[in-house]
Amino acid sequence: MANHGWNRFEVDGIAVEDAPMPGWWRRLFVMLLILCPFYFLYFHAGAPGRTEVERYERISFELTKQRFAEIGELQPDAATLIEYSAKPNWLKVGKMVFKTHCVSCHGRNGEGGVGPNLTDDAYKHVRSIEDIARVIAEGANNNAMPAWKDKLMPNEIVLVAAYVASLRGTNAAGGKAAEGSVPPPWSAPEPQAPSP
Amino acid sequence: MDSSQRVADAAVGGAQGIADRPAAVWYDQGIVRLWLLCGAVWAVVSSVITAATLALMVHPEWTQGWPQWSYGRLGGVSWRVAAFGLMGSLLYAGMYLSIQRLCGRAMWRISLSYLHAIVWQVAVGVGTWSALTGRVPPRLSSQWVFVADVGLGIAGGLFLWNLLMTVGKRRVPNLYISLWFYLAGALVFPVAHFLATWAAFPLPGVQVAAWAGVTDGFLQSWYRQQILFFFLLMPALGLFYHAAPQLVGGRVPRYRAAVLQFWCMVVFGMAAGARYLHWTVIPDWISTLAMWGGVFLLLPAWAGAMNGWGVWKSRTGGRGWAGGLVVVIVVALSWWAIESAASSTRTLSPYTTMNDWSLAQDWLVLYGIAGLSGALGVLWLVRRVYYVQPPAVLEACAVGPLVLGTAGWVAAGFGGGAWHAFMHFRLDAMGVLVYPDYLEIVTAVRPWWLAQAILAAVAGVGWLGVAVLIVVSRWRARPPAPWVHSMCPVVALELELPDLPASELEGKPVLTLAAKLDRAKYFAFHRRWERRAGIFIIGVIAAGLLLGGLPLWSVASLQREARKSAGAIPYTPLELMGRQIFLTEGCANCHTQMVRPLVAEAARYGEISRPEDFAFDRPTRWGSRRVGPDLAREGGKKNGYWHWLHLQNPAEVSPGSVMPSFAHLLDQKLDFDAIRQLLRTEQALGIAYDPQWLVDDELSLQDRLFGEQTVLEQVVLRQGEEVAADIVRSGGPAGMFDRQGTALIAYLQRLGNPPAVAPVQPADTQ
Repeated sequence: MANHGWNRFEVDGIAVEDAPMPGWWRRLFVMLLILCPFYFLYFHAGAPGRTEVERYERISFELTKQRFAEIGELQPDAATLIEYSAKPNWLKVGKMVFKTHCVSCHGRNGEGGVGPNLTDDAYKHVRSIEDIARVIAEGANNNAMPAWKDKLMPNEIVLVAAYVASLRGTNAAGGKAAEGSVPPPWSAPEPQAPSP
Repeated sequence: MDSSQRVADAAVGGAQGIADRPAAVWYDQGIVRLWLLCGAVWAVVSSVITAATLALMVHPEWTQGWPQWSYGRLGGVSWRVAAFGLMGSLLYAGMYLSIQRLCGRAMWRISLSYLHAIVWQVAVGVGTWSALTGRVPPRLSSQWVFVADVGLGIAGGLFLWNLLMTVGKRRVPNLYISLWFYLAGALVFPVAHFLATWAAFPLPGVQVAAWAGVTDGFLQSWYRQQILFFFLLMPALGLFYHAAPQLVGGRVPRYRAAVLQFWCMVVFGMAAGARYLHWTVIPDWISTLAMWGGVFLLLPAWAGAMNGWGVWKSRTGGRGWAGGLVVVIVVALSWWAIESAASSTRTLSPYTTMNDWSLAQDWLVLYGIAGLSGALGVLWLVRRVYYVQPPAVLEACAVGPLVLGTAGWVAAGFGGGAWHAFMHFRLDAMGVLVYPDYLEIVTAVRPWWLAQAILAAVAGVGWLGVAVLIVVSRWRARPPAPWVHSMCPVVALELELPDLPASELEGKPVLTLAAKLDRAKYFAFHRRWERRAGIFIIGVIAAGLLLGGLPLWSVASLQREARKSAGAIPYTPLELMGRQIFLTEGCANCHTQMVRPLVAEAARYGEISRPEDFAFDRPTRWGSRRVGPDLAREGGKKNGYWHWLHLQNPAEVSPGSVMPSFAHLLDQKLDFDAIRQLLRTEQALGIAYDPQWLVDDELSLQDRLFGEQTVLEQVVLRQGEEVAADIVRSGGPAGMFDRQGTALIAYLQRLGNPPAVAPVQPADTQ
């Protein structure tokens, strides 16, 4: 640095001096300059599976697989719904779906709002437990209750239906007045004798 | 020739050449005073609007019955008034004095300076007024009604012209550091502004952006970056390099740091245009480019901070409030460096976008770096153009609350953003949302909004102090005659540059090129570049074309593809009207429309967004902050009555919601002329709506009495009846088929849920 301070001058009473750039600054600059092309090559040289969307799809697939590995693909039938409405760890997943998508119409605890109260004994469009899953999937009353089959995974529909079934009779505070009719207590149909 | 004769010659200006050395020159200080007084007015307006706007986040019900002042509409106004009104006035005031002193002459044309000031102030005034009265379809937090935008662009162009001519006819051979920054800022602002606000309105009264879909989404982000950079940051830093050393009596210790800071900011600032758009639907390579641009911004910002710190360290004696301000600006710049680099990375960007953090980023540059530099400029200017030494207590009353309020407010912004991000993205080991209920997040972030509002009010007190400081200085001014043009000693002229430094490699057995390159490390070449303004102009334009133009071209071709995709379906007339209401009411200030490919977002909002979802959005409204949930997949999740109730009184259906009531939309009837205008504009831009829909209403009173309807009315009301029937089915009131709210509900129900069969075809795919 023999010529340190070469570019010294004065403008409008301001003395400009010429201290060299500190070493850490120059090293950082060089380090970033070296890193940058490798990053570009890694992500944009055409290797498959490295775009933002592809990475998301992979992560999302693996998470779903991991989440539902234990239970496989659930069927929206009465037996499954009754089974899962008694499993607290899976009810938690159903509750998450409920809190995400259902609370705006059915209330935070299912007490009802624009939609009916889900914590009393009366139901609209529901005669048996599997109707809950059907109404969630297909909607009811010409989409006054929207259909969720394109928005939720089949397992999520079963789990949220199980959660809703579990709310029956909890009679949340400030609940909306009962609408519809009272179906019999949730029960699975007797297993039929194998036909001869 | 005696000195007074030379002064007179200098005042006449003209081609005197740099060899002629007048002992003093005339500067036009009237223009500086004009901008300062405008700044004082905007300081008051801006403080009031900003504090009121932030207070509305916590108490939305305060504007019940005055829909034109709801948060949605004021949200955009406060940003624009602060950026273009307040900071614009203060930075231009500083630049007008600084340019004249550094060029050793008055502005090229005094009339141009005044024309610039008048057009600018009228445009900001018209923009603010039309926004406050609800006549704006706001496109982005920094864009206004078309006339005002054109006004700003023209004013920016006038300033550029005047600046270039002044620089071209300067009496000082070398361009000082500040002038590089002013040149870059003045060059980019009008171009970016016209590019981003360019709107096609084939018919009077309709404002529809010429850009659509992904292109428009990209341009909006790019524009946000360029306004922050080239309109606010560049002039502020230029002003800092002139005002700070003069005020605190320090030196600028690092010439090379200033050179590197400038060129890195131009190049990396341009590259970083899309750094708020990671994980959105723009092409990946642009995202990567923007990320590296943003990460590299560490370097120029720290280079600038080193120089600022050096100015303060080399101060002569205690320099009171101005010195304190210099230190705070250095701290702000250093934090901005770290924040920009971190938030530009793909990994961290989900946490720093679409929540309060992105607002805090804007606040940091706008109120922090540019605002405090503007205030520093005021302290400098009152001494230079009013010839007063303001009482220390007055400076304390301005700088104290300004620094404390701004720092706290920006910190509360970052805090609120971090809090929101934590809850929004938190997943448990099963990949299940930990805080699925959005209202839980709103309730948790609300105290941060309260803190922001209070601290912004404190900063507002500081701005009022700045206004008082200006007015009091004007009152106590002790100007030497004449009043308008003041005489100042000419700045030092450096006519001869020293020879290039010798290289240690000289004479050694190496290539001549190596010796030349070795000498370049002393940056003496840049002292020669400074004599040619053209190098700075060409450098900025080249960076802009390469790093702004190339991504824009790539995004535009993505948008063309998206329009041809089968999933791209144009809006029906009713939905189009609903979309217009969504824009006008400023819904997008609190609701984004972009589900990014992240597990938590997909779990919360639904399927990830695709380019074709936005193909016919003109303008695009991806949004920058989620006060409420994302709406990209809102359609079909709730029934019509829920939407009706929610517009009427949000807190009733969503306890804890901070959305203001939009009950007026449920009373106001649809305006068919407005719908027809929208259709005509869309038609002109390439969507083949049925020509019968566009025919003017020619029904006589008699026809009306017999219940005749135009074709357009039939089409619109048919869909309106469907929405109304849904409201009735789910328990709501009857007869809601012809309300403004009906259009909005139709639009919301279609988001992410388009009809299977397109109502109309885009003309270019037929």
